Amino acid sequence: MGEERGAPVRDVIVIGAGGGGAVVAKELAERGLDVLVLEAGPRFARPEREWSHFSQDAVNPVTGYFRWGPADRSKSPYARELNPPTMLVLQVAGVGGSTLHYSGISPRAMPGVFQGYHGHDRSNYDTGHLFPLSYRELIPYYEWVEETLPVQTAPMGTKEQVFFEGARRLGLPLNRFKDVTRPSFRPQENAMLQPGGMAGRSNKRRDAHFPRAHGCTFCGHCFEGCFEPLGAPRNLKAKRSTDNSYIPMALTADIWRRGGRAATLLTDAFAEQIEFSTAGSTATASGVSWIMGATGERFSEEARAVVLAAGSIEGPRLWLNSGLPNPNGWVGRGLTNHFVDVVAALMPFETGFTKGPASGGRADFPGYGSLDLAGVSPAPAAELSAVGLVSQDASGGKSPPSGRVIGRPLEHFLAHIDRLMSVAILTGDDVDQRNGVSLSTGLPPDAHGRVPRIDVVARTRRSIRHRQFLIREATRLLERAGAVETHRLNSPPYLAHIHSTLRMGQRASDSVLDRSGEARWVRRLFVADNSALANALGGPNPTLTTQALATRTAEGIFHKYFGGAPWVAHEHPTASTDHHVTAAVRQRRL
Amino acid sequence: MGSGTHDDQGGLSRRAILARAGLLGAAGALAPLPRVADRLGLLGVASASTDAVVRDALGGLVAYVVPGNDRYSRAQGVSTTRPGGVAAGAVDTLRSTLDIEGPGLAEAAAAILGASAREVASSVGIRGFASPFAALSYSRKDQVVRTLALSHDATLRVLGSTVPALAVFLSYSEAGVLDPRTGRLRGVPVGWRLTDYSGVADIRNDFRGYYGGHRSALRGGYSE
Repeated sequence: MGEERGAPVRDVIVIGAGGGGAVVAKELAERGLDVLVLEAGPRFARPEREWSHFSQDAVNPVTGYFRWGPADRSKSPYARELNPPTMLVLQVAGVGGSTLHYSGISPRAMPGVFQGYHGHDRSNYDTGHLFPLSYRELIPYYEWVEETLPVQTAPMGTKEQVFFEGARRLGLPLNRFKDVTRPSFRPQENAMLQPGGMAGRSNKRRDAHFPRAHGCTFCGHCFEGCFEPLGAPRNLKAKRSTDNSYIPMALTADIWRRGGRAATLLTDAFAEQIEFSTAGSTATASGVSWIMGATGERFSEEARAVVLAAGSIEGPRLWLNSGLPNPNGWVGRGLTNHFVDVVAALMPFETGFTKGPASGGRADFPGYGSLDLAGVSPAPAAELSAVGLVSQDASGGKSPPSGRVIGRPLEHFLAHIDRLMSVAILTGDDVDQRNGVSLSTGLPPDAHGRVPRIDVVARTRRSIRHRQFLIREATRLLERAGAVETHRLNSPPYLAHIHSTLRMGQRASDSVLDRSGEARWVRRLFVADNSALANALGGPNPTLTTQALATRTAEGIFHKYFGGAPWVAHEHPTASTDHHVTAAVRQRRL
Repeated sequence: MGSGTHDDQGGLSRRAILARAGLLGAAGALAPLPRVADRLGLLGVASASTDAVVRDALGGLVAYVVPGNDRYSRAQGVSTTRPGGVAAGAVDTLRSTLDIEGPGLAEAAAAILGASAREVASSVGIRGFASPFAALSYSRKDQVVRTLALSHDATLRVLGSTVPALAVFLSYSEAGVLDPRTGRLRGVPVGWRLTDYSGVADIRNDFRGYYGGHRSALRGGYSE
């Protein structure tokens, strides 16, 4: 760790400052390693000035500040080939990555998707593609991340009260644990600070200022990016996206941690090549080359370890464009996305659909998947209603019982948005090699090489059955809660949760990573984002598991290549809200 | 746009459409749209599309997804007494969004919508509109858009699916009244009125406590 300091060789280069890469960067910076983080997008250093709560500004899929494209929003988004072409892909360039617009939902995975599970419902899971470690082995890493972010039990707004009452009337029991072992409902475990002071208790803007308000102010704009409470230090913003949590810690590790070393963050730096050498049949990663978006200048640095955390689409693309080995053909393959659908309902009373945390309630059905309560602003709600699949048999002007809603039916459905309820269907979908990311032959290369092609074309009968089960349960829950009308979106492939395209697995024949997160055929190359997940987790939202796994991967890198000792079992984590971190963030004017 | 790329009527030249779509890089699933128009023999139509043709084709589409009290909605026979997507400014913002997605896309989309309109209603007059799509009845428009959405051609499916959804987003968003220079709204967005939305806020009074009074979840719920 010390011998190369000052030398041109970095200890570790992390590609991507999103949900996973930021975790590796913070953990290794805390251990004193020289970490360089490359991020293709911008860092939003002053979100209160750079962002707004307006959907058009934030999440317009072509021009919003949360998009997969250059920082200059007058330029077109980055290209990808989609199959089917109506697929929706939610992906963000920028420090924080997709956690910038996530809802902070942080459940643990279903135990049944891990090696060594022997529950009676074992056959309900994708047993051909289990994690090559046990659930119990991951628990200390879950706890480490849950305390670092921190993850807290969601408060209720009106829509949560409605959801819980529907779940209770459905006969589901309350789950009081972090682990899911039976069908149940519960408040979300969210990476969101609980409200304090005036937060959630006022409609007056002056009450939104820190420290008069702290934690979640119930503004209802998780999807447009969280900059509440106003005036709070960056690490005390309510949502624990990694731009508010892990990245500030990584950039100040020298201050709040004795022996720590501040990570170097380079934004607008698009990685183009993972450098590697080959000796015999063994490849070894040796560095990264990148291009600066603003100037077009190209740079290259060597590193003792490279961590790929560019996301489940760009990761495989970079791997393939770099010419890294792919002997079993599984690089980019096996994409899972929870086979998402949405059931929405009109209620005869106020629900506060647009208020509070985007999601404060969930129901889990081990072996099948999960239901997330979901609320958003008018434009995303309307867009979502309009993206449903068009059926063959519907006729002019009338909306089909499921699928796309436009025209007068849409006006009717959205007439009182705070009387809506909606539930996202998150299926524990099976790994299938036909789904995945490859290099496009249909589109020309862009400035960063050949562009990705995404195929979501196959579903197992089990995945279809499980999704239908969840749709039925969501509809029943909403009806029990008092819905006067329900509608199923019948979504085209909706890629908000994108996983397992560089999956770790039990067998070398159908996986890319070994159980440590290191590439099977490329020494010193690790993967630490959603693409490393072995499967779809059985349905729960992926970020927490990715972050737990990234913590474990960081520990493994430190132990294997830098001679350091593991720490998770022996130490207590520093929370990203710790006053030492706050002081460091203020000192460095983050 | 540089003036050298326009023809005498203010449309993009055929060569310019293909060149710009290919070289400047339309990024998304609509990228091949100019080539599809070319294959359908419509690139000449696209290149001759004036601003009025594009505006009326997109206006017809916006009124189809979010009808209101505008002339496009009245012409299709499905209108309301309130402002809809057209009044929300979604026609201009859809055009500008497509232009950012890829130059030439709006012209190609207008050409395909117009040609599809003639296929389903060859005898219909254009009734004062520059695009025949805008002159269709609602059910005919539905037939056109549905046919595109179910097409075997991937790009046409996007034109029948993703583009209408984008028009819906813009209709319900702040796009028409958001001043990009100041970041402030020039008025109340139509979408907010259509949804009875209370508007954006930094704080809202909707905290209802914790379910069962439980402020934290328990560890140790898993046993092998």
